[in-house]
Amino acid sequence: MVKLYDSSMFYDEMLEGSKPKVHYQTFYEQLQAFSMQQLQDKHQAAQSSFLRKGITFTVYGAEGGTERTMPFDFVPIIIPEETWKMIERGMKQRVKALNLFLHDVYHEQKIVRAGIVPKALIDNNPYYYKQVIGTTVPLQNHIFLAGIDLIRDEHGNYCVLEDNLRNPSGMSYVYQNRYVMRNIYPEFFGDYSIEQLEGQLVYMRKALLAHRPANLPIDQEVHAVLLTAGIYNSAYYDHVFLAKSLNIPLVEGRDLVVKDDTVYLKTILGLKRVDIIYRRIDDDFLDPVHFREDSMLGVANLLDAYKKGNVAILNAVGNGVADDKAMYQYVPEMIRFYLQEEPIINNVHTYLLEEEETRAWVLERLDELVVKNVGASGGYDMLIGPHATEEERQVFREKILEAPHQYIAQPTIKLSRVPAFQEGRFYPCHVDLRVFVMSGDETYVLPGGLSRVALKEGSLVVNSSQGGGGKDTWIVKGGNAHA
Amino acid sequence: MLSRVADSLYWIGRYAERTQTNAHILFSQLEQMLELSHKDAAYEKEWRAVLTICGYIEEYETHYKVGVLEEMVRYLVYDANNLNSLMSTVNSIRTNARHTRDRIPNELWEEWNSLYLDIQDGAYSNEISVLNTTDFLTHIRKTALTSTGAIDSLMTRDVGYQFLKIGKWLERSEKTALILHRLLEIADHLEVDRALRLSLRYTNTVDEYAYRSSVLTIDSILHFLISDAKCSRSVAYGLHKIKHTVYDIEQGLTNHNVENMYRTLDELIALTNVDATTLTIEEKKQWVNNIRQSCTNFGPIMAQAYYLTPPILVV
Repeated sequence: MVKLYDSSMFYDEMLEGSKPKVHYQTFYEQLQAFSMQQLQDKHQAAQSSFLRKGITFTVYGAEGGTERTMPFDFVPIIIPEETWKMIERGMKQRVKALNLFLHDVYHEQKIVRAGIVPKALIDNNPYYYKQVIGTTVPLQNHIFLAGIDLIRDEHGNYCVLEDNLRNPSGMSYVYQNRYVMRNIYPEFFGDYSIEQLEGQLVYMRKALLAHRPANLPIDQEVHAVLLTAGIYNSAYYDHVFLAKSLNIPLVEGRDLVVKDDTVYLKTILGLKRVDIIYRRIDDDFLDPVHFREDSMLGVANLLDAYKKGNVAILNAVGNGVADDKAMYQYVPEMIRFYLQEEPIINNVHTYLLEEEETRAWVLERLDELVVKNVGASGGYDMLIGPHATEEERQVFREKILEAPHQYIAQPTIKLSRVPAFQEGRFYPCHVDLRVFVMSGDETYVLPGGLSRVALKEGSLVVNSSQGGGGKDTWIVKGGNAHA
Repeated sequence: MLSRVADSLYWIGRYAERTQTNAHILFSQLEQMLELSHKDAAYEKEWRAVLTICGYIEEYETHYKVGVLEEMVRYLVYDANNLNSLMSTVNSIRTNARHTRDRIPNELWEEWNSLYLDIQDGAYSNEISVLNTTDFLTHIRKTALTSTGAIDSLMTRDVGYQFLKIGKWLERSEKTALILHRLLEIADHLEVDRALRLSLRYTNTVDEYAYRSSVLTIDSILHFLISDAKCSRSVAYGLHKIKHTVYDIEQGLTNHNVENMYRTLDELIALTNVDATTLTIEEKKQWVNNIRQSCTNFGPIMAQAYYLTPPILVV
């Protein structure tokens, strides 16, 4: 008999006390049919499957073998359909508002004139690219793919933790987690009817190809590519998976050339025109002529072709201004301003630190709060106050005083937990959910998304680069049970 | 087809063929060696030939001594500084496969990646013993053969497939010429019959030759391994395959970039049609060496024709 734990301290995705919730009941019963040894054997088979298939990410700066797999945990996150529909509506609403904000911020700046977003927050933002002010992008859509990170608080309410509007990664893991789950743990699917992932990327391809550049004649076939930094990029497998699934060439910067403001691909039979670039390299590296001149990854004069409407770049250049951790605080207001709607899914309360009174209040409570660098991602440069030492808090105190605009603070949320099976035992781990939203002529939300779990016991950091793992996410059809 | 991707696929074809052939040569040499004392005169000559065919004899001799089995095997199998060691070529295949993962079957990637991971995990320690090494060589040969199966049964017959095959055929043609040249060079010091049998063994054509011929002479072997368009390891066979493939890629179009390549290829094929029976033994050696050198020269000419761009490797 497999024993779990008492979940009473936190909101648990699976358990109510030590009993499973209604929508986990079937899974729980299947779990009881296994011995710990069988689970251990399956666990080993799952981890090795990722390695053999080369589904790895690269840890920058790590010594020795830098290719690692994201640990997989078989206990899925099960979400009833009704709950998912609410999430889906919330995600579409949020991405729509963020896109309107991005268009506005590079054109009229109505939201600034209305006094909602401070002008300085835009002008001082390192991801606000003055080079693309006034540029109109295909479909006026800046966000082809968004990865929105959701968490649940101690009451089980979903909140948005972070918007990723530049190069959100992890979609390949959604598919591979399901693949491994189906192949190694088929028993757990039992009587569940789950939203399938197969076929969903057809919507993504459709959304991608909808971004025809302004100057491409309507009768001409559109040619798209996926631009990667190459095999040493941490998300290279993600790039391979998407290029293959979207049926577009996977290219590096040196495979492209710009001539007469038109982008071409270097092929064995000469140059071939490129109309859409789904880029997976950061803005700074896109074009050594207009951005970082030391970039070896980009294409000279790409920005000229982009601004002239000869090529579409997805996600659009300059999206970072909207997914900055300081701008995050204004997203609910963006929803109200552009859509005249109330946010369906709320933010986590966030303190900006430029104002002296708030800063002083935060500095007194560093042992209770989470502090994040507004420009960092992947769990880097952050302080989790309750888990930090006094020395670590002192370091952040100094960092905040030196550059208050560079940091934000949030209350330490009691992130929901879920059982994880690692090293032969079950223990509760904190979890979040990255939801993928794809937009072209229409907006689609990939059913489920990537559940990321902080496998280090007690840790709140779910990023793979910081020891986080992945779980399969099930949207259960007709599952109206309370989640 | 992207020029960079075509280049990587071409090199997967070359390295896979090199790995398979070198593993086979080493395997059969280790097996034969069991009956041969290291004091035997042939022992050092044969190993010297193997070091020339599968590695770089000059480089080897600056560091080690020919005749010391452990050192020779370590150099040819495990030495990361030897770009032709089996460890190195397996690494090269995997790296090029990573560069082209969106264009090759998953099964092909997984075959080479699994072998790479087994090596990394220490499944085959570099402690030299005949048993340990032959187990490792068997694993490599099986991987190479299974990956050939994955290519043939799962890969779309598009330009990517064609470049992979061109790499394989060119590597094979060049290697056959290299084996013949090296063995002709030492035939005077070895028994001629032994040199001829070795050439069949190293090219893995012992059975194929037995079906086709009952005599074993220098001329019959040269005809079989150079000119016979039906022998799967002959130089002519590989070059004809390349010619058909490049015509297919061009689909009858005349691209001025490829004219030089066509001309070189035609000259090379013509060279394989020389009647060896009319040549003296020295002329035969020179002829085979010319073929080998022309095969070596053809790679860069083809790369120029198709703008092949090698991947940048930052390790």
